[in-house]
Amino acid sequence: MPIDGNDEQFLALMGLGAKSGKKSHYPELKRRLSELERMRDLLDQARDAIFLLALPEEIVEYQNEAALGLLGLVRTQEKRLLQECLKTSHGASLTLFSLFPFLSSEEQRKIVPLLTRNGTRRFEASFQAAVEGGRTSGILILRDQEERIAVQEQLAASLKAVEEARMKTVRLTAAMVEMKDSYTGKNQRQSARLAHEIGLRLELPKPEIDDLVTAALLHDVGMMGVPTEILCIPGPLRPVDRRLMQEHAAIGRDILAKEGFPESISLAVLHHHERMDGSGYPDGLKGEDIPLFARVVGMADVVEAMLSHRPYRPAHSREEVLRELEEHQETLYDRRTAEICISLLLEGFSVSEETGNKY
Amino acid sequence: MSGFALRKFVAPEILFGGGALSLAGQYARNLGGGRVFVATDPGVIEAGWLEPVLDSLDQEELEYTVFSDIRPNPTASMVMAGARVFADERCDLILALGGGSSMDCAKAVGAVHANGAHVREFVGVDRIPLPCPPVICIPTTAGSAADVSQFSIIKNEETKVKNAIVSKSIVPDVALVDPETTLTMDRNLTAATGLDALTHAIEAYVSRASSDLTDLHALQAIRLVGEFLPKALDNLSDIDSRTGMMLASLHAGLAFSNASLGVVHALSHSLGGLLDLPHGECNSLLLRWGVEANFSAAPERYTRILEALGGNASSPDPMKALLDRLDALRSSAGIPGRLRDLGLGEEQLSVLAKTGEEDPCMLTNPFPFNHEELEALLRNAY
Repeated sequence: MPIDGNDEQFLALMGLGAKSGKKSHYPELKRRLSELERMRDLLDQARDAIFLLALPEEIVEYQNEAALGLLGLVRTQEKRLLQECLKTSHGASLTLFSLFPFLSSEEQRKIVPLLTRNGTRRFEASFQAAVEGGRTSGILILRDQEERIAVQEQLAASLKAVEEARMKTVRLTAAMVEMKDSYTGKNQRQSARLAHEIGLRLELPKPEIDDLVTAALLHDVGMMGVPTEILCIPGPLRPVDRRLMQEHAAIGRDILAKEGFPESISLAVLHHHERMDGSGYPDGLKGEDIPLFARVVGMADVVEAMLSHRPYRPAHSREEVLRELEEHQETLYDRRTAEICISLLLEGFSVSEETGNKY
Repeated sequence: MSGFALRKFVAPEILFGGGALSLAGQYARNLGGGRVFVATDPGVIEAGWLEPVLDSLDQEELEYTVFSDIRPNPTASMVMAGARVFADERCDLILALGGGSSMDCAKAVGAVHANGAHVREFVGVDRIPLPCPPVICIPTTAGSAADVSQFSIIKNEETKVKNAIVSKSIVPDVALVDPETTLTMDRNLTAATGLDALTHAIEAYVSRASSDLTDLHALQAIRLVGEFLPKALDNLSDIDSRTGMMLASLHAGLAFSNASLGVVHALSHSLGGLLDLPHGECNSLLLRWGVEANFSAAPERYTRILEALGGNASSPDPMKALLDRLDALRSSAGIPGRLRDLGLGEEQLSVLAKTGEEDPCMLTNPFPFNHEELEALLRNAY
């Protein structure tokens, strides 16, 4: 049969067409391969160390350049185990299981110190497992967070230093108040101790407890502005003296606000003589309108004062204080705070012992 | 007949005929080539066959690198040098243009590149683990048939042994078989490569791994050599004889690539390695001695060979008739008939036998030679 050179289909049938090659799919295969290689190149450029793992054997099916670089390994044909690629800060082999004992398709994270060519560094490890076609595999990504964590730690340290400096100032101020009036000074320290216990039972967060204690330690700082003669008057005061005395709440608030103390502290100082029924001073606030810190500090102040000896009266007994609290817990005092005080007193809380008092 | 025995037949895509060579670019493109590694030798370039191939690549706007540092009996260091060029130039496809040396070297370059190992790692059968880059072969001799075979013979310079690499991975992807390329072969090369093709066909036909499929190709190759080799030697420019011989070589290649070979090739690899002699000449010389030693193991098959060569099958002494025919063919081709004519020392025969014994071609030889018998064969040929 003669071949008609123009009949493309005939030529194609004989395998002589332009695309008749049995392996004419090679360019497509090559395109896909180069795509995969491009992905791998991109992964190799990533700064995070990336491991693809066969689980549960923890065989490294793939690791990018950054993952090889952790310990300065060289890419080989043979598959490694993950523990050949990870070392603890002591140089011991590290398995995935020891980091993440539970396989989960949810991402799990944790900070882990690893030995690298550049010494021990902390990494954020992110791990996620997946089951596909009956095969369990996992992806482990390690991000070097050494710098970030170090900066964070530095910040926390300087914050702590600032906080300590503030506490020193607070204690110094309290000590100065005590110099002026020893009863007031002792009262501040003891009520701070009590306020701390109350704060714990109210389950306040640590920073709030710190502020509450600061407020209690300084709640009578305004007494510095009250003439010493008035402070020393034994027994009931004349109305004019009482008004002068009551000024200490506002003076205290002013001092603290001026020194840049948080508002929660200065308001607690201002309102620590308010009572739930509105009978207190300086503003006659009622119930929930009185800030919580003010209610607690006020409670601690009252309890401490009743339990303490004053020049013009002896100390009240524990029973008397308990009775007073029970009687007025609805009217004068915050109920929850009063309840806490009652149980603290029943458990043996006492103001007299000065030993072990850190305030 | 081995019709019921399990057999496999592997072959590349084959394009046979005038103009096949100019399809190089199209097939390189279809196989995903971007930069083509063109393996050839100075003789082929001088004969003018590189130019049209490069034109064809240019037409498809493919880039290429020509590696022509290939000599007869290609060595491991030639292969490794080629693989370095392949990698340095970022080639992705192999185009071999030439005789058995260029094609064998090119196939091994692909294996080395893909596997990142020394070529000696692949010596033996099925020892290439990773797939090689695509290979297109354009043979310029009518004999080696490396363009269709799963063989690559590479010489170890230190041991002077020609090692056989046998693997499906190095069966080329495409063979562009263009008889015109053989028009530039001189008489000696035409004779040696033609008798090489005959040796392939005969050894494949009597091989212990032969099958109906390979028998068909082997017998046709023997017929074609019998008819066209004398004509081609008479008139080197006769394109019909050249086409007949190219077809003979192709058939013989399909037969031996799948049925493998025998004692002649085993000893020929050993001899060619030791004295650095052309493969075709070694085969041509050793063929009749191999047939003589093997005859009793497959008398009927050898008689069919005699028949295919135009001899009388009912001859009272078919072995003598066949040997006479082979001797006549060889001497008319002007190729020496004795090992001593090659400058070989008699004391070297034992080494030859020893190396030959270890060649994988011995596995399929019809007669199970021991060392003494092999040495006796060589002594007869000496």
